[in-house]
Amino acid sequence: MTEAGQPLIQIQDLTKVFYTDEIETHALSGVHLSINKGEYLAMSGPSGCGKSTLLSIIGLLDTPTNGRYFLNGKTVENLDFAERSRIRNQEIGFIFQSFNLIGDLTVYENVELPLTYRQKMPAADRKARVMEALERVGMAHRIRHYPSQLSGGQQQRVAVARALGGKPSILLADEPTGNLDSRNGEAVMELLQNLHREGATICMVTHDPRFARHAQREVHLFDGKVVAEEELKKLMQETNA
Amino acid sequence: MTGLLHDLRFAFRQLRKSPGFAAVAILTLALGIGASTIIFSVVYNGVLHPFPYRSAERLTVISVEDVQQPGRGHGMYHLDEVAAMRKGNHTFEDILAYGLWYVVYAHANTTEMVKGVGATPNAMEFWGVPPLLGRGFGEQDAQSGAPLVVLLNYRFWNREFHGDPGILGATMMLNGKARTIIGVMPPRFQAVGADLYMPVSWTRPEPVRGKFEWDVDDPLFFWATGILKRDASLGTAAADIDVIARQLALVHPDDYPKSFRVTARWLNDVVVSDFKRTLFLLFAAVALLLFISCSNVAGLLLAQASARTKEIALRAALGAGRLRLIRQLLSESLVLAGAGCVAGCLFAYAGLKGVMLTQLATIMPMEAAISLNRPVLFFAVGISLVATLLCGLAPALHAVRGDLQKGLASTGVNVDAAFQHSRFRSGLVIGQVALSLLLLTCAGLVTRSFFSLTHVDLGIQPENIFTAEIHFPKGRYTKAEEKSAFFGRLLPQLDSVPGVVSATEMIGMPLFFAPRGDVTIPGKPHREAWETRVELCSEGYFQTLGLHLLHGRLLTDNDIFSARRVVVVNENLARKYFGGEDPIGRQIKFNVLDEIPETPHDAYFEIVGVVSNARNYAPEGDTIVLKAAEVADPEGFLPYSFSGFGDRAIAMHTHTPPVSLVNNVRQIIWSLDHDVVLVAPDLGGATGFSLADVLGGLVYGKPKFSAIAFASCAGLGFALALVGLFSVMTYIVSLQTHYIGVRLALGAPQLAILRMMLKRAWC
Repeated sequence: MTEAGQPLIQIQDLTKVFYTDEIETHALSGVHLSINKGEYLAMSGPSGCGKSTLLSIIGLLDTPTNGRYFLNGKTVENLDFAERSRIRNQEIGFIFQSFNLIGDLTVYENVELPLTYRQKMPAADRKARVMEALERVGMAHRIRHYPSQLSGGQQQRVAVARALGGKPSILLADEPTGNLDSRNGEAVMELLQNLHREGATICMVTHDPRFARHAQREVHLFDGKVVAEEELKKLMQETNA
Repeated sequence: MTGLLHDLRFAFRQLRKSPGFAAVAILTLALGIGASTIIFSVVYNGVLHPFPYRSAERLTVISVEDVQQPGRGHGMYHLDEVAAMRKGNHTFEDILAYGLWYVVYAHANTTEMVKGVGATPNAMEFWGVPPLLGRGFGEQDAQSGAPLVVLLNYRFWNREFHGDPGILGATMMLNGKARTIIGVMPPRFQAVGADLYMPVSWTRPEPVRGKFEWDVDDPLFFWATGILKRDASLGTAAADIDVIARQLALVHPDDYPKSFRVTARWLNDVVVSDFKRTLFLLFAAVALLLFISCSNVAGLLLAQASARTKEIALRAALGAGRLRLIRQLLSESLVLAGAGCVAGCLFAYAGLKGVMLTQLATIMPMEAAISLNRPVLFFAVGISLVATLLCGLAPALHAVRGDLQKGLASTGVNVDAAFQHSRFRSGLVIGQVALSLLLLTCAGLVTRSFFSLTHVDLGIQPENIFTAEIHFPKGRYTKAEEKSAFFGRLLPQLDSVPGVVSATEMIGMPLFFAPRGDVTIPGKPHREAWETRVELCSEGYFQTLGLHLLHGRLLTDNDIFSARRVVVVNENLARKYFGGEDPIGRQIKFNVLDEIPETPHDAYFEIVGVVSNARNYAPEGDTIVLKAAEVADPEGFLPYSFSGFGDRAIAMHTHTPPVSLVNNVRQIIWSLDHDVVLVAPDLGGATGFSLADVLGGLVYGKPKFSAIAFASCAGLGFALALVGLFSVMTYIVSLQTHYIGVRLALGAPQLAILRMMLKRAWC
């Protein structure tokens, strides 16, 4: 484990090109990024700037076309599917905009799901982890409910619990408030704040400046590149003009 | 293990969530698994392991084959020959001699002929099946002067004694002698399908009888069946016995061909013979059916997997590896296959009961217990596991190949993937349709050959022919005059029975028994044998069997009464031996009559008439094939009063179902002579007295079963292919709902949409 303040994630000159028929789309172009352990980072930018693509690569859901990616000091950009699955399961917790809970599983089973993919984890440990995570998000009383029986805010809290259950090195949140009303959105942001205070490393994608301000540090993306806030404003004005 | 339980629990939940999908998939698999299980049960229990006897897989039948006439020879021997084989061989653990022994059973003021088996004293140890009740027989029971004993077959015990366990120690009057019942054999013990089993001593004096005397005091000829030693082969066994047979041929020169060889075959192969091939073909057909079922379910699972793209992507995002995802999807097909297995076994249980009502029961060895026993259930479980892989693997592999990011971003159904899957599903349906057409073609060919067989012009109408054998008591009715006197009284009485059109006497059952041999015709020398059948009959024969007079005249009362040496010949005899000449008035000698005792030898007959061709049979391999009338063997019909040899048969042309006349005929015979017995046909598993029943069992049984079985497979396969086509079309339409809506919004007529979808289905 990386010590607090040490880089948990280091990305160097990362590019991602999508090929569709004969068209090349450069989603990311030479991105450099470092996220320290215990840091709460927000990534913002206009639609199509590459935020989600970068988050997918950080979350090992996708692979870069070029560049280096170090997670906990180890290079991970060229791992096979099985190894990436293992790292996703043990090191990364995902929080999605649309919650992505499985409708056929109860709250308890949804939170337990990533733990069932771990080899040799005793059932008692699994249960303890699930209950601890649900208690942290205040959903322990709904373990037998199905997602359809919960409100959007409650579903997102369950999704956060699922991400926390595995005790990951980093939480990746992709527009976690995008499908919530402002009250529930604030509640989820508060929950993330609390987790950060307890030591969690968080990387959140958002296009809403109100929520981005909850983060310790904000990174702006524009046309697949990391830009400073001032430069982003200038580029946005030019684009709008 | 916990993960697997999780997967199974989730799989159950998935099925519960989609009961319609689950029902269709389970029913589809149940049909495939059930049909495969039925045929496997028939093949395993009826062909591979039909016998309950000790070392059944090594039971070997010893036969003598004529080298110059392949297919001809014999498999029955004098008792001393089998004793010599038993003593002199080095390749068998033991050899048993057993022969058919029809005995007259007298009880409650009636007599009937029952089927017995006489077996040497080593029989009980050889067969290795302990009696259900009482004891078996042994050496002490076969010794001269020992009390006469009998063992009962289970069916006979139930039929005659209503399963009374207190019957042990009671006596039965068999051939006029009291025999004590010492035991009852268990249900599956059905050696030769006999009613009774009696011991015969190895050292019994050889009875002195002629070739055509079917005396029933004890068997004249015996089968020789051995248990092959574990380290011996059929080839070495044949060579071993061949050495002994060469010496036996010197003792019994008339019984052995000039040039012969000994063959050894598994009892299994002898009993089931060529039908094994049909069953294996049928097994291949149901394998295709199973494949159709599996591909159908695979198509359904694929559709489901397409609809679950997002869920699968999410599981992968949460850390599930590909193998784990495949395992989860396979768990779902395992649950489906498991439920299909249970339903398939229930289907097979009911289906087997139905199958046993067909001709199969008469085709298979009587010992065979065609049931859902342990090996069959293991097979059902095995093919369910195969079905799991066949159904689940392709959808699972398709499902885990997708792009995670796209999958997570989707709304549930990944339309691109779904269209890829739909192409795969279309491929599956095309395969199903092709296989079902293959099955339909096979079924069509089998059914057509069955149809052709049943429509062979036999020259007679078997549906309304009553037939039975007449057994005369030993030492009586041995002379031609005695037989003439008996039938002279019997036949007019049979003619007067309501429902009877005409009646006749004959040598044996019509179509199946008539002596055959060369003929001598003055002025017609020939080198090759002119194989000709000869029938001894009464004047009613031609009317009874529907033969038409073509030339000359038929036999008359007077010919029969005075035993005139006249003969009516069939058309083929006239054409083959006389060409364009008129055969009427010519002389002919049937050389086979010279071999028959109580028959005038060197007798020439004057041809007085020519009748239409009819019947004749020919063995083809181990199957009886009826020849069409036009290719029937040449045949001559003589007055039965010419000879007094052996038992005889009767046939009647009736207006009413033949079986309804049995009691009338019995009463008439009983009124003429209490000791003469009417014997039901014992061919083809016939239980009635109808020639049609005999033909149904012996000739049409196997082809009919094959036709029904193949047609059932093909019908099921076609139905499943249609279900597959319907489900894939439903799925394609559901994927295109949005685009169809757009087309309609743009003004496309409904017909154009319909045409578009039909075009897709056609392609």
